[in-house]
Parts: sequence; structure tokens; C-alpha cells
Amino acid sequence: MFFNAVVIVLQEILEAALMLSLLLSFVRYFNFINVGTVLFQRNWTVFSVVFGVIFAWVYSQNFERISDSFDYVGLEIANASIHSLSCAFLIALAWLFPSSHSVMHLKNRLRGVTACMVFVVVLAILREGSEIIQFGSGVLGQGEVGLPIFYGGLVGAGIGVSTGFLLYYGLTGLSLERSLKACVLLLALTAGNMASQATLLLNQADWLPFTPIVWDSNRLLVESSVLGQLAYALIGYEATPSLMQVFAYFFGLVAVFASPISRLAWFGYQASSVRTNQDAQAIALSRRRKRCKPLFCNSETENDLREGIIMNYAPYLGAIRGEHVRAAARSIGAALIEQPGLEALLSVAEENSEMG
Amino acid sequence: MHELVVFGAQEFRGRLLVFALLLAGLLSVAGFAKADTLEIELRIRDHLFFPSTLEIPANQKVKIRIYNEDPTPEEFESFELNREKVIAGNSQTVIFIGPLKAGEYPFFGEFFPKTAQGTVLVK
Repeated sequence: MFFNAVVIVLQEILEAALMLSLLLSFVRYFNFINVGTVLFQRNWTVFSVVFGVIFAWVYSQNFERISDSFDYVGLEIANASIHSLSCAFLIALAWLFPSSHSVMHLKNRLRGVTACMVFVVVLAILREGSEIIQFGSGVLGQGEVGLPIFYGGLVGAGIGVSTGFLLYYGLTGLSLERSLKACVLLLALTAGNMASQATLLLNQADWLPFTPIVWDSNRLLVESSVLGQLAYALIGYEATPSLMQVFAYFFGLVAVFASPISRLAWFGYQASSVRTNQDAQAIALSRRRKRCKPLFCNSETENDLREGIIMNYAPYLGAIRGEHVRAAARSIGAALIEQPGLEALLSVAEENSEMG
Repeated sequence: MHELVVFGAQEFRGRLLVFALLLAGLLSVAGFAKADTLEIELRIRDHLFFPSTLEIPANQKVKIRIYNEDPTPEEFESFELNREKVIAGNSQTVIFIGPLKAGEYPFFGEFFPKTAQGTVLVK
């Protein structure tokens, strides 16, 4: 029973923890921008976890009533709605995330993004927490000695939370560009995961028609193995997906990859929506930057490099006030160029702070 | 003088007839769809599945009605069938498994996996 409790609690906590770590590493970019107090910016995590637990408790109290509704498929309908809402909020998050020069509207955008994140985390904890509560209350109510199950649950939760930490530090330990790319990719995969799980549940409830199984990837990665289950928790890996699941997954992927932040992260500055003369210059500079390997730059290209990077990140640097400038510039500079240009970057950042 | 009547009695009767025919058509199709689904029962007692082997015909949608006769909840899960559902203690639930090709599809109870095991045999 101990090991059983470990496995079950681990699976549920893992899904919620991975989602939370992904969102937390995504929101790290807000720290480069200081726009004063934003609703729940600092304690949105605590707020959403607490509300998630409350809602999970309410959900499991009404478990049987929900389960018996819709001709005994009420659970599938409820879970499918939770998954589709999560998918919608993740896509909204990607589209609302600031990615251009419009610092003026940043405050409202950040509020919107925080609201989306709160909803996603609450829904995730609702989903997973209710299953844990169901398992825990059922097994404890049996009259068995509850202690091994409780310890098993703790161990499982600990492993899940540690994996979440691992993902967070793995994502944030990368350079700024790579980190943003990885976060956007994982966001797209998670949105696709939510959509495909919603279609699977509706198929289970016979609300969506049958579609044939498209492939069987058990030869590549067995679904019931440890790695397979980890992949399922992180990105919704299914060894035998149906056609509708694949379409839903693809829809989630495309919806996130089409967003401005993903275009900025994956396709470079030139793909984002703002177009001015300054942007045209920045585009030309960043093109030259891509052709030049940092180690072999001559001084002229280095100048262009510095200017290109400043113009790309000027809005973020310009919006920072006071003592944050040096720290931010240092982190951006260190992340992007480990080269002599760093001092130049800092001096230009200083000029910017004097101007702004 | 504006027309106050939108359509007369004769048109109304005609449209009502068309609507009734459409509804009857839809309901009959739905009825046929429901009649296609085979319904079988599965019971959970003392953390075991009864019967432990379910035999169903191939390429047909099947409705499984699961009765959990234990006081504790159980989770019906199968990787091969792609189905996962929690059933509360002393209650029933319904799961659909779609048209399947011939073969063996094992399932298990996730909360008590050592004892609760079964197979769906598709012929």
C-alpha cells in the first residue's frame, strides 16, 4: 500500500508541479520590467495553490453527484471542460504575453497574463487534487492503518515537487533566448496536451465519435514505463492516439506557436508585429549579428552587435528604473554575449537610464 | 398597411410537418446508433474484477457498466484501451470502449493493482 500510494500521489502531483514550474519560469521575464504593483504578481502562486486546493476539496465532496450526472458520464464531461478551459487559458496566456515595444500597455497585459496563470494553476490543482483526495479518503476510510499510506503520499508528493523544481531550474538556468524558446515550446506542448486529453475524455463518454488509432509508438517509448509516464505527465505522450486526439494536439500547438511571443522567441525579432524605421534598422543589425560568430568579430561588427542587442532590448532596459538597470543589463549581457561587448552594453544601459 | 401575419395557417402546417419529419428522422438515427452499442457489466468486489475476462466482438462500440460493490473507490485504467476513470465506493458508472481490433487488452484497478486485474478479449 505504501508503494501504491507513492505512485498514485506522485502521478497527480507531477502533472500539477510541472505545469506550475513551467508557468513560474515563464513569468520570470517580468522581473526585467518594473511597472509597480501588479495584481497578485508576487503572491499569485500562493493564491492560486490555495484556491486550487479549496476547489479540489469542494469537487471531491460532490464527486458522486457529478459522476452520476449525464447518464453516469458526468466525470468525463467535468474533466473535459477543465482540460479545455486550461487549454484556452494557456493559449490566451501566449497571446497576451508582452513581446513588443508597447511598454505603455504593459500593466494591463501583465494583469491579464497573471489572471490566465492563476486560472491554469487552479484548474490543474483542482484536477489532480480531487483524485488524490478520492484515493486518500477511500483508502483511509477502509479502516486500514493509515500511516504507510500517508507516508507514501508524502514521498510521492516530495518526488513530484522535486521534479518540478528540477524543471524550473533547468529552464531558468539556460540563457535568456534559449529559456524563452524552451518555455514557449513547453507551453505549446502543454496546450496541445490539454486539448487532446479533452477529446479523449469526450470519446470515452461517447460524446465524440470514434476515430481510428493513427500510430503505435510503443516500440519507441513504452507508455507504461517510467519515462513514458513522465512524458505523459509533462507533454501528454500517448502511444496509441486517435485521429481526433492528434488533430486536437496539433490545434493546441499551432495556436501557441502562432502567438507573438513564440514568433519573437523562435523566429527572431523580425517576425513580431511592430514595424517602424527603428525596427528596420534593428532587423538589419540582428541579421548581421546572426552571420557573425562572436569570437571572430572585428570591432565594427562588435559595435553593430552591441547596437543591435541594445535596440532589441532597449524597451526592457528603458523601462527599468534606478538600481535595477545594472543588474538587468548584466544578466542580459552575460546571457547573450560572453564577450568584450559587455562593458559597452553596460555603458549604453547607463546612457539609457540617464535619458529615461 | 403592414402585413401583421408572417405566414398563414397553411404555411404553418406545412412547416410543422417538415420539422416533425426532420425530428423523427434524427431521433430514429439516434435510436439506431444507441441500438448498435452492446452493453456489458463489470463488477468490483474485494478489489477484484468480476468477470476478470470480458469477451466482446471486434469492430463494435461497447458500453461497460461498472458496479463498484466495495466501499472504497477504485480507478479503472488501461493503457491499451486508453481509458481511465475513478469510480466511487458503492456506485456505478459507464465507460465506452470504441470499435477495437481483435486481440487482448489488459486493464487494472490503479488503487489496488496487485489484485484488481482483468483483460478485454476482442474476437
